Amino acid sequence: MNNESDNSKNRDQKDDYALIKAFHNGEKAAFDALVLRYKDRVFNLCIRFLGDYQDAEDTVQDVFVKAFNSLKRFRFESSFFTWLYRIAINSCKNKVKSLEYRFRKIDARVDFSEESAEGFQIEHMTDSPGSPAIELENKEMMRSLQNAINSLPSEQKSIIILRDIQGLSYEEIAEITGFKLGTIKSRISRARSNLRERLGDII
Amino acid sequence: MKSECLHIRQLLSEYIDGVLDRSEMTAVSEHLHACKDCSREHAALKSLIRELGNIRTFKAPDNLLEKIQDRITDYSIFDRIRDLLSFTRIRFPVELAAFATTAILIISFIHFFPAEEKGIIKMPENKDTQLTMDQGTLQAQIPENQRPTEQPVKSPFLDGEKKGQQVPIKLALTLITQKDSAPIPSQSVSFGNSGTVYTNGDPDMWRHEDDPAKEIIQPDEVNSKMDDIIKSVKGKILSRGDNAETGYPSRLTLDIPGINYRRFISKIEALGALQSPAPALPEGSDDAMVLIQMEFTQPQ
Repeated sequence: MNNESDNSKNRDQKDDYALIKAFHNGEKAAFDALVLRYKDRVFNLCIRFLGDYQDAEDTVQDVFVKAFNSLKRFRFESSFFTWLYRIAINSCKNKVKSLEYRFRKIDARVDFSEESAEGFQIEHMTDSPGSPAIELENKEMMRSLQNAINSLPSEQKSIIILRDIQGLSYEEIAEITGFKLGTIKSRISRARSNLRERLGDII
Repeated sequence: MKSECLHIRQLLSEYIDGVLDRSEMTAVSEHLHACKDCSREHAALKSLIRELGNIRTFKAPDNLLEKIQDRITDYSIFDRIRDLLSFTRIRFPVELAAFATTAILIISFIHFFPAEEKGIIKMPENKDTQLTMDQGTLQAQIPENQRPTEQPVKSPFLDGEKKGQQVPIKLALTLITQKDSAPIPSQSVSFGNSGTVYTNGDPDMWRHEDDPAKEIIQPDEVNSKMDDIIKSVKGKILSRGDNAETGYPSRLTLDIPGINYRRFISKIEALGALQSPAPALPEGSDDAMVLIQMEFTQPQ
């Protein structure tokens, strides 16, 4: 299983490198291919970090615009996706720090209904629709989880999203955040413990 | 709680991820078999991780790529400088930024205005002209027959011919930031435990905490309306700035076709009050582009 996953990641990395080389050779369309490859993953990272659809949409645009302007300096010393995730995490942190953002009530605008007022569709990864009561319970759970994530300090939040929501390895998280493995382990442990406290008996 | 339990609980997260060394894995495993409390905590932590792993995922907006492409095309020199500074981790102190801005403004002023309008005294070219001081004011005594005929002073912001096909206009707008007596929507709902009311009718409109009868028009909404207006008159934004504290727009430079100028003025008057009437364009400016520099202020 691990080998399969490693092989798949190696394939992805080779494909990414081929696209970046094409971009370096002047093919702008190669960048579009990279956007299409990673837009959902980066968008989900942003939406979980910021807890707000609109802010996530703005931030994911920022991330790819920054990536476009820095890609010519990409030296193939890391994988593209860890490089891109590093931009995404920093962009999310900057967004949270911005004065404008501090004045807003972020938890009030998270809408976990199947279709929001803006008309965007939510893709549910689990494919068991269940009864309306179960659906309601699921929505409540999602809301509680998001509120608990929102309450974490930025460093814990980014690490828990990368580890438990995006499923990255400790090594990948270390590459993205620049922290040592020991720091990653202790922060994951602390973040999970904080989430447990905040969620109490819900889990 | 026993000290052993405390120690084991600190290792539970890494135990679940399988990143402990073999001896620690064994020690935790044996303890969990023997201790019901720690075993329960272990199960709860696993359940939390499972829930996080199953959390809903969202599809990125369908038009994301187009929006990114638009922004890449519009990417300005200022963004490039900012990104470069960010990349090299150079931090600009506020004072330095203010100094740089002031310097740019002064240089632009010197470059843009003719010397006469800057109050710079030029020595008269004629030898018969004398400079005298009268009650602190410098007077030039020019012989009667050599005085230049009086020319009307033309504003550089209203001289279309001087700038070719571009007519510069300056506007100052006091924004309306509150709506009076807005009806309370029937579908107001409260999320989370913040107690904040979110109105379904317009996601950017929030109740003003001090005065429930008034609603604040958020900076995003002002910007969005401004963008719509500019789009509707086929205008193009050249640069914009926001008030860092409030987020409301502070300045905007744009150009629009002359033929749409009146329509633009009537539309922006819905966003606020012009501090002085909008100047009329010179004759025959319909085919020219109008370069508009807008300054925004907020009511006190």
